[in-house]
Amino acid sequence: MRRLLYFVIILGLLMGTSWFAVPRRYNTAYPKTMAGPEFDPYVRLNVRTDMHDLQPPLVFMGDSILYDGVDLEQFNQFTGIQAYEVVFAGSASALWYLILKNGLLASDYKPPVLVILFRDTMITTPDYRVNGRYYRMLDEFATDEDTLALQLAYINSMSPIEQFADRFFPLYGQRLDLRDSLEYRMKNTLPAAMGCGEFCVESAMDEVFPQVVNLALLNQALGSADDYLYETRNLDFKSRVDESFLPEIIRLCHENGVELVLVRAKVLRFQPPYSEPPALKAYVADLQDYLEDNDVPFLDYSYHPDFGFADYKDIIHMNEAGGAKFTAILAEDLMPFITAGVK
Amino acid sequence: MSFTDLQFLAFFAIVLAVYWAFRKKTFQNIVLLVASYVFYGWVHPWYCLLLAAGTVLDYFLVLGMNRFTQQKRIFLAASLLANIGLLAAFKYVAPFSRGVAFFFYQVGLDTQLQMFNVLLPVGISFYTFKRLSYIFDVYRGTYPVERTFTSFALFVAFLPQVVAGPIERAGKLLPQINQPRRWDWARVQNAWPLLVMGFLKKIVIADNVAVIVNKVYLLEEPSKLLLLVGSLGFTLQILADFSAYTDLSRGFAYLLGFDTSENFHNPYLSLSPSEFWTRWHITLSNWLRDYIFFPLRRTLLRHNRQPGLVWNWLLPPLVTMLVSGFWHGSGWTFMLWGLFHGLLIAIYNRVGVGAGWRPKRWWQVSAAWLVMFLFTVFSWTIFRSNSLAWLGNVIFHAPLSTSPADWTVALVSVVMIACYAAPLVIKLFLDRYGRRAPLLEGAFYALAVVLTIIYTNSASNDFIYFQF
Repeated sequence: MRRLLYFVIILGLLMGTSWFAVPRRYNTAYPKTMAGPEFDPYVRLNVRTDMHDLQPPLVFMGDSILYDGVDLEQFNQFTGIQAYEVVFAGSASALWYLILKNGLLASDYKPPVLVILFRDTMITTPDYRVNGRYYRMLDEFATDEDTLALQLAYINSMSPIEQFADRFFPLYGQRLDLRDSLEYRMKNTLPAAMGCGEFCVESAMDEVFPQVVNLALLNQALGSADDYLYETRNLDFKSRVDESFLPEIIRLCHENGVELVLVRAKVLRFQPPYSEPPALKAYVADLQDYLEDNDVPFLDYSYHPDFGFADYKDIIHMNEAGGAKFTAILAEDLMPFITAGVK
Repeated sequence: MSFTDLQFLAFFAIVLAVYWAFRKKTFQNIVLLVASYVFYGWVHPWYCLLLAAGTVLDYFLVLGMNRFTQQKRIFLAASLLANIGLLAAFKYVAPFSRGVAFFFYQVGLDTQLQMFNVLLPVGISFYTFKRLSYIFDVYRGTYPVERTFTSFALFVAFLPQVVAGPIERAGKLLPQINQPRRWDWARVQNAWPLLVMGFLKKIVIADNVAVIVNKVYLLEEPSKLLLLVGSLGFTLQILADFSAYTDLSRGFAYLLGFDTSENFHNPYLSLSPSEFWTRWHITLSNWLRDYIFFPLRRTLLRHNRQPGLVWNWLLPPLVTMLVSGFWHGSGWTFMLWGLFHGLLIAIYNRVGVGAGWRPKRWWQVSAAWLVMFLFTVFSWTIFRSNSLAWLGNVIFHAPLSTSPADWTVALVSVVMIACYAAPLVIKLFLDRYGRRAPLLEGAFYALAVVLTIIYTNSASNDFIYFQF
């Protein structure tokens, strides 16, 4: 009984101390007015200035699939235009929304055509890739006034208990910072004492871990990392669309005279086709109807017969040959939009 | 729904309130049975059908066994066939069939067979072995037939154990199911440290060490140094992960008024493989010992009364551990892992080093511990390997180290693994020497809660043992 009593008292003391110490350490105030992480007021300006300086007639936006799947130089050669790409590996709909709102559309030049490359349910899964290091990426393009992004990407997926804990308990609300700080010490203290500082440790990590990885395992890891996109909840388009960034992305594009084109890339997760869940097919059908109702062109390459295992380096990313083939097909299919945009 | 999900905790709180609102054990059992099935079928409701069908079948087969004593072998055979058949079908045939279908697809034939895409129901290995132990016990006459269907069904689907054990024996759990239970604060005393440790082990230790381990094992050809570091990490990860589940399971069971089996007892302090298996996954080890090892050894000795004969000392551990490997998965690495442990037990036993062996001098103890620990780490290397070819390549072809960066990464990883292991080491000392220092214990658990809060993710990885 005494053990429990001491536990409760010490835990209370620790929680109490954290209430003062943590907000002071991270310069925040508790209780927070809103659950979820806090974005700082600063926004990365490179996209905005590039729009102003380069004035591209077409902008691509996406994650590593775009990086590997579209060869910009080849695309420009084929179409005769100077397209621009906003590629962030690991990015998803939350970041695309923020880049569109605070980058592309915040410039005095608005690109006539915006092409977003996505896979499966990414475009209506607002809380996909928003935690951990992804939060840092989001923060670079978000201002402290982006409450909608916070709501859709974080708060909607939190239970009331989590929201309460996030607002009132600094230990929980600042856990990402606290964890980073603990891990930084674990990772760097001893090597630094031995003459290998932070840069030395990071370089060693970068040298060792991107070595050749086992393809089958990489595919397995990529598959598991993406499992969230294929959960029942996320495959239900009708219930997800209104709480996703898609309606806002469409609205912003329409209001600013930007022709939005959504491109669904082919991935090999469900090859052979027998393993594709019927819910995914239903999802795509609903997405197609929705985009049609909102006058958004939709190019779906997920069943394109010309792409197979030989065109991919893993189940998601195309290899060089696949990328070249895809770029040529995409350029041809985007020509009508480019022509209309140039006019 | 996993034990560390907030969703589960809310679900369990509701179950607990409803459960203790009833005073009669019959109603309590019904509430718990329904809750167990809701929990088990939360993601895939069809899992419940599988669980229920097996339970009904075994219930009637055991009744038949009891009634028609002359034909009880037939009932036993039917039950064995059904249970092992189902386990084999889901665990071994389905992955094999998927491989076949994939092969057909690659050569241009789309088989379109949905049956190939069947998921392995979680916990099937655990509840199948649980049912089998009951059937064996009734067959041998060491446990009476359970006539109340809800009691038997609850024994099989018991909420804290249905997904990943422990593989509780009927003799321990069924009498508790059939006894009246009253709320008792003393049970909370037993439950809370287990719950705190369970969350700490899973959320802080296992999930974070897994990041290091996965990075190493994802490489096509890591250096031997990195493999050693990755294996050390996995040695910690699998203990933290699996014992976390057991701690949480036992903690939740205490809150429901049940005392369930301990599954881990400092396994890495073992001096011999036999001792290791009395400390690691204790309920599975006991199952294998009682239903495979002893019967097999008895049979061999009956046919040939020379204990020194090679088959008499080699076969029982070898077969038992091969079954253990087979139970863990369908890959060849699991078979080799089982074979390695079987050989180790046989050789140690042959030279007179059994579970109770304890050398007198401290340096002998240290040396024996170090040798056994290295064997354990190596066995986990086999277990975690991606394939036998991968393991062979790393052991026989990979260099010791590829560059100075390798050493830096190894150093960083070892420090991080040591930091994550520290709470378990502190807990070990507290268990040994801190019983009379409640203040220290209270402080340790309070810090554990703080760390767990800091490390709470939006989504936690599944417990490793779910896949068995």
